[in-house]
Amino acid sequence: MSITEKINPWSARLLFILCLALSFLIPFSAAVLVEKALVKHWERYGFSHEQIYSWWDNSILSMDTAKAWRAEGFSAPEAKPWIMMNISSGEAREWKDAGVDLPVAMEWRRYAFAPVMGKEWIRFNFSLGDAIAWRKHGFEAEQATSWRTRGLSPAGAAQAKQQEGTP
Amino acid sequence: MPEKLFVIAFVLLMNIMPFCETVRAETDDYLKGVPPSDISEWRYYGIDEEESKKWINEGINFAGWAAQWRGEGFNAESAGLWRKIANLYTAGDFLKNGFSPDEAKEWMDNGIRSGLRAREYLDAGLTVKEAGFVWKESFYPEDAKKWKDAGFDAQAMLQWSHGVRESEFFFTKGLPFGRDLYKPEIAKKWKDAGFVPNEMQRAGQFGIELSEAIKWKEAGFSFDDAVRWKDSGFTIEEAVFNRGAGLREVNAELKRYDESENPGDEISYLDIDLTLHKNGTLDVLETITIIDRPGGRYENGYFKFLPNKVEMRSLRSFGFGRTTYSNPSFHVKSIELDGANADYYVSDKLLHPGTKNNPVSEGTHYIKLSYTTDSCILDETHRDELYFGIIEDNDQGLYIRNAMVTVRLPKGADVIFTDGKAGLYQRKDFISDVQETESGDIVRFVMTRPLREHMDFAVNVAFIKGYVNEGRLHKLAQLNKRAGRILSSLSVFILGFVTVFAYFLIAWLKVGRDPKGRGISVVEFAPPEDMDPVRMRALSLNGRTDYISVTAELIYLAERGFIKILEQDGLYTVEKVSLDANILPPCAKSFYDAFFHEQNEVHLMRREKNRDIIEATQRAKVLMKEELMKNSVSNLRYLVSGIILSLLSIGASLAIIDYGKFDNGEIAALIGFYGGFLVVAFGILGFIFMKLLRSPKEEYVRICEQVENYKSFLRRNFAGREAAVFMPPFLHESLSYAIAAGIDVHDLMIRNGEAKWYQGTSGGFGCSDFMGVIKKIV
Repeated sequence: MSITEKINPWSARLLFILCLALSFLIPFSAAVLVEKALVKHWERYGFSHEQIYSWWDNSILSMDTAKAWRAEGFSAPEAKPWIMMNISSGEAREWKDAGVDLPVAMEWRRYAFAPVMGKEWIRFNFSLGDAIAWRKHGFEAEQATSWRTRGLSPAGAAQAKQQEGTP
Repeated sequence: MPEKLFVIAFVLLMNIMPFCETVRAETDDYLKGVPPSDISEWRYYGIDEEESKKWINEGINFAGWAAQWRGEGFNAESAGLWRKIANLYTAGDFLKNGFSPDEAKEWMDNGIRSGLRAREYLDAGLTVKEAGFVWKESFYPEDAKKWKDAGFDAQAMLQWSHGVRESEFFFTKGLPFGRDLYKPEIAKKWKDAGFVPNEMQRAGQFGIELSEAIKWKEAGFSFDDAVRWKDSGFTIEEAVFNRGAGLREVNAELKRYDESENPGDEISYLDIDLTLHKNGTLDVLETITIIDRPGGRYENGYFKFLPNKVEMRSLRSFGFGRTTYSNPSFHVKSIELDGANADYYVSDKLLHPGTKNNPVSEGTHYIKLSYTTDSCILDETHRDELYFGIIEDNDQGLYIRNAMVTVRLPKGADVIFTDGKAGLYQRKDFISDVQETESGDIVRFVMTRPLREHMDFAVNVAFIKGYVNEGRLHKLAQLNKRAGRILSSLSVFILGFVTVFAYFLIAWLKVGRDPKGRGISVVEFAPPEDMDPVRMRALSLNGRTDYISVTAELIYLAERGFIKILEQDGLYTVEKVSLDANILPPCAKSFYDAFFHEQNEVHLMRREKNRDIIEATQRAKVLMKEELMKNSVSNLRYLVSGIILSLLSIGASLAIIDYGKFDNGEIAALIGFYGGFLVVAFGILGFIFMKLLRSPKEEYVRICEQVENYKSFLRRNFAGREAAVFMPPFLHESLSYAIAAGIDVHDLMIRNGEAKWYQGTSGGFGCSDFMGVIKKIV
């Protein structure tokens, strides 16, 4: 071969461009395929296309989690804040049924009020602070209401309860 | 134009005519604008045009749908009514069970969405409201019927049939719960006898039969009174008598105790003051008045039990609470005996005021005991809970006349609930109250009855989470205690291992390192004096002698003219040449003598073991090991010290384990596996340093250095010879040393006739072939 003979660079350039394109296309196609397969899988459990992306957009990637929250009547955007606060779907449902939103629920559960208890205290118009004070002396919401209507403080009611029994 | 006018007129007509509005209103939102099925489809389902209009007027636009309604027994008009309240199958179910649409709606509004179930409740005699009420509690119609027949209304049947819900304190719907269930025939008997549901349910827990309860009732005792008198150990007659004398059960019990001939030892007053700190430690101040009578529990003086394991449980969570076993520590601060500071000692987990020779004497004593303890906090999901057992497993029947407990919580740790047990099983014979102060909540528990055998007293105080933090170190210590101090043992092991390692390292640095050579690289053109290949290889490889050494040694002997190597068709014969072997180096002479033994030639055949050559190899091996030993210092005293340290560490690691946590089988397994692990770990360390601590002498190092220099020379000489196949004659003399030095000579051959010591049929002496034969033989 003579050193003056020129090598055509186009085949090398084309190969390089092809490699570049493939290095993008192969992982992209794989990701698209995986996504489509996942969407199909979710669809088999009754999730619509929009709902699936809504759950995913809200960082809920486990279908079991999504199903649990869906069963309690939560959409993905509704479920997300409760999940972030580490509250189970069942408990969230109970708080919602009690008409309590997440920030308020967090306050009540911080003071160990389960939804069913919190709901009662709220129903009888006790603030969280009042509920804590009355519960401290061993009163349930309904009992506390009776004593409160007599104008007694929690401590006074507790004393009176020991002497009288019931209001 | 006429077509446009017609369309406008039609649309106006459709919007103005009232029936059109009706039809639209009846149609479900999602069906609006959806055209009804084609007439052919209606005909396919056997519905003619006129009838199809009726279905469409009722909002049922599709022929198949209409056919389904018809199949469930509906006509167009009734389907139109039912469609608004239920799907066709539910509607069909209610219709089949004889309900009108309005009735069905009422049942469904009360939570019963099955016509069959509604019919069953109705047949059981329950109204819609009652059925809805009991259905919520999963009370089925067949059960409801039995209770109804027994004369219970809906509310009563729930009260009598279901015990209290037992669940975790923080209960949500997803969590499990349990409750006792009662039968209507039994409930009826209790009800007829005038008891309330709660009394029947507690009677079961307290072991009181109905007949007995009735007798107490007939004697004029309420259920609660009867339980109290019974717990105090009185019969009905005795209770009636004492009550007649104006005594309450507690007074009567105390009077009886005081009047008994041998009342035994008792604690007449027990006041425990607990102050909980934010780090979870508990300051305890016990004020005790004891009456130590002759004999009894305190025969050898008063003592207090300091348990090393405590079972803690949140009573409010029933059986669903976690049981936590804690291993509290006790630090006694002071003891006062009758107003003066007293000595104390601890023996077998018992704290004794006084001394061994002078324990607390009989009589009445006032003791004030101050100590600190920990591990009393139950770490629950939504709360922290203090559990403190005062009297548990009182099977020896210590009598405690009065007891009270005060719990002082840290500021901010608001009380969530107070609970406890006092008296016999499932009894809560105490009162409690909470006081709010600036420094935090204070809870007081006062026992309402004396305690005697089989009676407990323990208190629970739940408080807001986050105000008491026992810390990770404490949790780790608890885990360690629970695991029988295995973690401590592992720590001792690691500490011991590191110490022994450090000791060995220092010893090695001090005495174990090989002396440095001259550090100058001098080219050695010949092997050191009296150096045969076996010795040279042994020097390079820490005393090693192998088939390569043997091959090299045979070629060395051949080169020196002591042997001849003959080859015929792959069979080698080593022939002895009569020369005085005394001129050979000692190792070579020893090998030479052993090799020929009392014969003049040795045949070497592949795969055939040759005793002479093996014996010669063994002798060379022993010789080389001896030389290595002779030329090195073992530093045994350093090794022995290290071994003693290792044994001490192993002993300490095993001794620190709390064997009381394990049964005999577990102890054997523990010592077997764990002890084995310790021995192996220290054994490996000792073995490694035994090797490292052996240090060669300086002369030996010098010779090794010479050998290394000569090996470098050989490497340069033999470098690049692989392609040549035949070796140049000037290298023949150093071939044996090159083999011993580990230089690759596999592809090299000595041409026939170029070496005096070789004769063969293969065209030359092949190093690899000869080496292969020796390898197979050795």
